[in-house]
Amino acid sequence: MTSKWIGKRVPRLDGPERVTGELKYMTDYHYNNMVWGRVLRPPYPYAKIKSMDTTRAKNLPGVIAVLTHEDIPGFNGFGIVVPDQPVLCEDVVRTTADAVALVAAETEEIAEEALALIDVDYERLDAVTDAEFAITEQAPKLHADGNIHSHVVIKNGEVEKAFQEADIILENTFHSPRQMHAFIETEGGWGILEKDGTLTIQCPGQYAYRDRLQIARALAWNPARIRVISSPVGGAFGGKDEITVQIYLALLALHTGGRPVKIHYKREESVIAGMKRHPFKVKMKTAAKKDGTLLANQVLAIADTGAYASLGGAVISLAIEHSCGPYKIPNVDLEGYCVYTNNGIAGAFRGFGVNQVCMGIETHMDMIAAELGIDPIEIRKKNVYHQGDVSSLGHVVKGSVGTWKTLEAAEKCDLWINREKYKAEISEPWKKRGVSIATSFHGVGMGIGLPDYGAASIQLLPGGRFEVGVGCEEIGGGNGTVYAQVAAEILQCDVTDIVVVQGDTSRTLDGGTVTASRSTYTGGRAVATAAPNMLNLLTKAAGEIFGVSEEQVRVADKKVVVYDADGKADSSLSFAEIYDYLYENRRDTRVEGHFMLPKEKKEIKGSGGAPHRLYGYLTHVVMVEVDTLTGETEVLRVVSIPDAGKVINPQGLEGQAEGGAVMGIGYALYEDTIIENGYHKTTNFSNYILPTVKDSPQIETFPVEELEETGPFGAKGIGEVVMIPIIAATISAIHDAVGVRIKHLPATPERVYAALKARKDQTNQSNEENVM
Amino acid sequence: MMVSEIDMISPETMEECLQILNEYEQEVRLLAGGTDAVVRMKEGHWRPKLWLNIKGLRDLRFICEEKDGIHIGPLTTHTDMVQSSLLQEKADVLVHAAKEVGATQIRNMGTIGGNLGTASPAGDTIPALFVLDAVIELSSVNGIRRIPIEEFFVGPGKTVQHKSEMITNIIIRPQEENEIGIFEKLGPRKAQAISIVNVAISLKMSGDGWQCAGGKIAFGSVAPTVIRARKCEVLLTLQELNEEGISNIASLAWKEVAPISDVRASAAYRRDMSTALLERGLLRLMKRWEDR
Amino acid sequence: MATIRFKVNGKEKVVDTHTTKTLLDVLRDDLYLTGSKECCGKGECGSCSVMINDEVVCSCLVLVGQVEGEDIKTVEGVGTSTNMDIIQEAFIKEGATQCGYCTPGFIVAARSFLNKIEKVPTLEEIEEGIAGNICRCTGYTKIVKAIQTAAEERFSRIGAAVTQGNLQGKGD
Repeated sequence: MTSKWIGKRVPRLDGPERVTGELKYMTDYHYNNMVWGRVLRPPYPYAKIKSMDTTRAKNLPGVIAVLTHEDIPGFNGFGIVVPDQPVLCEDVVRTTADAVALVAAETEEIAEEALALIDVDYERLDAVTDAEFAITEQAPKLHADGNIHSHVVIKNGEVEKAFQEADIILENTFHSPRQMHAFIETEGGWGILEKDGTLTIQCPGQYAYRDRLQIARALAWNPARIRVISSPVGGAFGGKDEITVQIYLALLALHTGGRPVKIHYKREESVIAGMKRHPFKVKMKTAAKKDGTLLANQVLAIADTGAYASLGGAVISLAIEHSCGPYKIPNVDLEGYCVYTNNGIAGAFRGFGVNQVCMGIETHMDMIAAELGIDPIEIRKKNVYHQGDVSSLGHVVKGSVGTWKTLEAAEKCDLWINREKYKAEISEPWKKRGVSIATSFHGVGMGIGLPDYGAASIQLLPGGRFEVGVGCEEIGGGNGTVYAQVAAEILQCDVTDIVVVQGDTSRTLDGGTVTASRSTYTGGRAVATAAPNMLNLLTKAAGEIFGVSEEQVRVADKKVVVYDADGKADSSLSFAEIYDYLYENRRDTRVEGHFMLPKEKKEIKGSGGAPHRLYGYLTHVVMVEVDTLTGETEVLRVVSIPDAGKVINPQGLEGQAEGGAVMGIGYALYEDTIIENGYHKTTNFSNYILPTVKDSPQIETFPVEELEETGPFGAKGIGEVVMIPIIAATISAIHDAVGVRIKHLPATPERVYAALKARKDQTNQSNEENVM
Repeated sequence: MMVSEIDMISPETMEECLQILNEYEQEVRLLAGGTDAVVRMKEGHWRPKLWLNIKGLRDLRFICEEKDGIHIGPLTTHTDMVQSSLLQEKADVLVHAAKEVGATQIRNMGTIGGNLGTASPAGDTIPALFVLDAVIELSSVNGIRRIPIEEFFVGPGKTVQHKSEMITNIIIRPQEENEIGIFEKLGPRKAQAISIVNVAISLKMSGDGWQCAGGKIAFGSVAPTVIRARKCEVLLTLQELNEEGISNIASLAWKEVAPISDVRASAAYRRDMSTALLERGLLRLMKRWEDR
Repeated sequence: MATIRFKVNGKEKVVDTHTTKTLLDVLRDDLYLTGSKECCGKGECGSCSVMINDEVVCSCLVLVGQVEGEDIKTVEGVGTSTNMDIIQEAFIKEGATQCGYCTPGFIVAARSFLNKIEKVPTLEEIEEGIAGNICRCTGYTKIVKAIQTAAEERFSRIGAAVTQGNLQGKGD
């Protein structure tokens, strides 16, 4: 069957309002009687609160409310998995990202001034700033249960025996950066206490229903009295998955006499208060046979989650689940810790722990290939698992697996075939080029032990258009257009006949998060589940109107057609006419679709949720040029080869692939939020180095489509894996160019230069020794 | 002081401006492009009682050649400099440096006077002004004084400019025939970057070969103020600027600098990069000389 | 407080405000033109880009007291959803907007860039034109393509207009 909309480059339906600035983000709204909210943060990363006095602040003219922990009606804590982060600190602060008090005032300046008038007496404590130290007995305990938030282990086979039998063993330690989401819209929004006593929170997020629950828990309110509007979002990448300012807005709104309260962080506050990617230290030991067959992998990963858990436990679980790459390694010993420190807070971020471990296994694949003289694509092909194989974790992989195809496409792409030619085309004599590849994968959906479901509603509108409601927010990826494509395909109408509504607890059903590479799969499948119900509704109504049986009625090409006994089209009704009929007869015009995401039945013991039923796969080919005088690296070309199953919108997929590649380049070469002794040294975009257009390469995307039978039209997910293998590929390409391996990311000019210099010194030294 | 309590006056003439500078008794600061001043206001470092907004003094935005050199008005933007055919012809090093400042928006806003006034050791145009022997004209109600650029800065953010004075002209020497210049910058990325190290070089070549008749080199970001690399300059004329000669000269650069470590780079890296950038700059200059 | 007069998107505006408020805040809070966004507030990201007398600047670093009598153009003045500019059409066609929060800044910077070029630009020239704008979603590839598409469109339209003009001339 040929598709009218699936697989087509449908331009974004919300494009016009985005390119004209007409689209209102939550932080763009304006209310005439508004007040400004601000948050007081502690000056120390770890301290006891001895006393707090808000009198002076409350007496400042223009101040409307000053709130502390005493003003929280419900539970003083939030956190997606373990709510260990205080909404407002009571007796201790564990990070400069903590919140101590809230202010509402007539102007932002008065609010700012009031913050300075809140008297808090702190007793400073020694901050815990090293994750490895945090695990030891000597370290002060930041939480009642100690500093280990979670510990996951996966073991399979006999690692020690395999190491003894191996022909080659590599052992290295990798450090990864504290990457910042750097969404362009900082955290912010509105809290409004409505006249009917309900509360409206307009705040960009990644799961309105869960935000609502967390707000309700802090207020001790029935969630039904709270409406959360969370879409559109000016970028998220996981950084708006957790509560940002929603609870502050709610608390303040209860104390402003019905006046809407706005909080909108300045970038400086976002840098300090916002979640970051977990910095990891990954020790990896990998063994192989002479022919390149992988024998064993041993991993110890330590993740610094900062002061609070948020999704840190899930991050380390996913990291360990993915730490062997998409390969069959018979003997594995994988262990991960998620550890509390006083270094800000870490949480969900695109890639979710896989970035950090992929760097290890893919670097080792490259090193093993080089040492054994095997082609880097060949060695990967030799070790990958296929659908139906047993993975390194010991489970049978049931979803579609595209690694092999992506590697084959990499082998055949121009950049790889002609790499020696391109490498020779250096732009200046002191520069060197390298080309390398890496491959990775990423689970789609939540894994075992977490609720994972999709839901969508479709409503027939006056005039014959359809409103498709999906909980998953529009965070940038264009999922709304995908939902319209799926609906239009099944409902046999134009995509422009579809109105998509997202992220609003009063208008959309609870369909889970827009995270975990799940929104195309989940939202798309939910729409595909709801749409047949709409077809039924239409055909049933048409049958009634014409007094024929439903079997004689079919939806075709924007109308409902009645066929005569010979199967010949007899007459038809437009969707608008059907709507009129239903409306006149007071009949429902709305349908729903619900489904549960497929999951593995049995959790691998101790793994914290592994394995997933579905994974997306991707291979990157990267060319870099390194300036040997300065250590600067430029990524010149990238080929991205994703297996996302069926591609519903190629333009949207390319958008993900291109944006993910540049975010991966940022991780590999530029980005790090520097925290020293618990204090942020990074303050804003002047010293957090994001790639600009001039630092971004030419990117080509060649999807291979390994159809997933459970997905909508065969689709899987792609949002995260797009930024993962490029990290290792870039670093291996630096090695290909100049012969040094950077294991501490980002590979800044200074780090690359230092490695080049160390190698030079070593060579000089060994030359001297040879002479002697 | 809150931002909303700061006053602003926008004088219509330079005379009016100097008058205010002379008479206003509380803290007053000049405001032109705002790329530094407004940032510092927002960060709370600069909260004067009064902003003296000189952005509208169009008479202070000019580039022209006079007998004593090329005159550049303090309100000349970086974009103005990049687009000036006079500067392209006779002050290429300054054009290169101006191109490396921020990005389009910042180049459209930021002025050369502002760059001098804020006196950042990392300011990109300042090393170029050093090698072009810039003279800074300071005016006040009491008259005019001209300060050679090497005497203008006294430390990071500090200059010899008095509170009652403003920069009213910048005079540079035009490059001579066979004089070519280059600005090399190492930043953390390729655009919108604050220099880790930068260097401006201007060489007078003699004849067709690789022999240099004399030249000037100035480094930024490696000392409290921009500094001239005089030892390297002496070496420029002592040997041909072939690969070996260049390498010899550049290898001395680290001795000329006194960098510090900060969040952007270590002192050791900055020292080595002084050598690297000088080498890269000279190599690129000689390539250009060869291809001319 | 002061009364400041200036033009925005061709219309005279009078605002009563303190002179040290940023132009960006005045546009958003006083004139409800929320297309221009604040992202870094320090001139590092270009999300607040507007044109003052045809030059693109960061409105987060311009104080409103400095724009008395000036002519300002924001994204809302480049085109509306019912009457889009070629650069806006090209952004949609090429898929150059994702979360869209940086997009208005890019549109203004790109429009200003297109105003100044005299021929179809090279990729390097396009990159230079938007190097002051940060996008976290797209990886820039499609933004560059969109500007290229719009530039080609612009020069082909000019070409067509010239040709058409000649033909008309003959007819007279």
